[in-house]
Amino acid sequence: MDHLISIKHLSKDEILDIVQLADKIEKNPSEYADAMKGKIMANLFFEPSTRTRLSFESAFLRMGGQILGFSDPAASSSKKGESISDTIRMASAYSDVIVMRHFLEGSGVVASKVASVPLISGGTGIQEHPTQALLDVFTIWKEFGRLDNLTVGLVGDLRYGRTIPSLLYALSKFENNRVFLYSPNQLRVRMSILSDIDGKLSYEVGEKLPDDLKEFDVLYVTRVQKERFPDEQMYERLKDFYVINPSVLETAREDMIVMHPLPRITEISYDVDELPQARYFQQAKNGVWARMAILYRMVR
Amino acid sequence: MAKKDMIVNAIENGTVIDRIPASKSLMIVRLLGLEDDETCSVAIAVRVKSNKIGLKDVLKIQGRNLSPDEVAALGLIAPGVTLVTVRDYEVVSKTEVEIPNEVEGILRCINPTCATNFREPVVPSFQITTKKPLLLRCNFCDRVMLEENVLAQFI
Repeated sequence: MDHLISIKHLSKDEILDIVQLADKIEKNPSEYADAMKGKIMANLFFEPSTRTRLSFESAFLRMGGQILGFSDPAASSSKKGESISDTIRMASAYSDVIVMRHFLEGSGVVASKVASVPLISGGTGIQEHPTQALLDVFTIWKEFGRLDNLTVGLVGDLRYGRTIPSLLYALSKFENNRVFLYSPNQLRVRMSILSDIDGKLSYEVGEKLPDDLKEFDVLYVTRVQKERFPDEQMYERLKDFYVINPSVLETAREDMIVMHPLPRITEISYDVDELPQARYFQQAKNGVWARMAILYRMVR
Repeated sequence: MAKKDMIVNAIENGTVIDRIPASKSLMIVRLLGLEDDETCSVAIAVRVKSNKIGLKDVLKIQGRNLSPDEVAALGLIAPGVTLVTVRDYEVVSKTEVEIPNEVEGILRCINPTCATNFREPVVPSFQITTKKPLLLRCNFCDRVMLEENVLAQFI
């Protein structure tokens, strides 16, 4: 794996390898404490981030590496009009691995064409968020001990949420997974993504959440992506389309897990946090182990 | 067509694009950038009678051959046209242009937030995912384009 831009480029075995390595690292982090000693990671965030940036930083620091970068493009030369390509060429000279988040789709491919060190996408516009999908499947694997034969409900903004395509691509690599895609009609999964998973992953599209959730192993909830909406009024109309609260989850099995890539706004009520199904904070924590595994595989 | 009926003369060296669906010739002129290319002369015949396709357009381009990328793009907007290469007034090749599997350059991505639409040193490229109906996909941002999105770039 030279660069990590899309989950589409990973094989089932490569995904399983990352998941199993993340598990190994979590169980024995001290064994990896010096794995990145003497290495530098460039963290280039052209778009705001909390979890992705901090968990990559935590992951690299936990392996003894050092970090440079920026989290506000206004403080970088991109503000002066520097291209992505030039910024990446420069960062390649200054570091051993680059993590980049950018608000433009296609930015990952552009960057990967000039990066002379491994490049990891931390999210590219609405296109994909591959490392989120890897920590998501790590979370699922920890819970169920498998990544096949799962029934997953995805709920919310499936059109603009970049974690959705990456997670669907990851689930499509494993056998007998079924996904149910619940969103307002305006926020359905893009056709290009459905055509990518067609024949590889069984899916159904709907608007109304079923009254009975007992067949689900995972309920994956997403935020309506305000910053990507072309129209503020439409956002206001749709932002509370789904609110997952304890009464919605009444029929869910106790071993079902509720996931969310965070940040959460109103789509999961605070009182769900105390339910046995809530797994989103654990999921965020798993991001550190998953990203340590990704960096370990790509940098060494 | 007998030589005495020809609307424009034969060319010495260059390219003839024949059997263009009627009124698509100006689109091809734009696709090939012929309006601004001072190195060649162009004759355009519009709505010429054709036994095979009813009415057709014909382009004769004196002094220019098409690059593979241009031929691929031509196959997107006017599949089925005949491409004739002429040297010393002789036809040296004659091929029917087909819809390509991939196209590089010439087209731009319709996604306004695709990185290729910004000042980056990359050439936009697209996979043709289906030919009927025509669907293309940006190799950078994954945005799907329809035939009308392609044609609109040359109107």
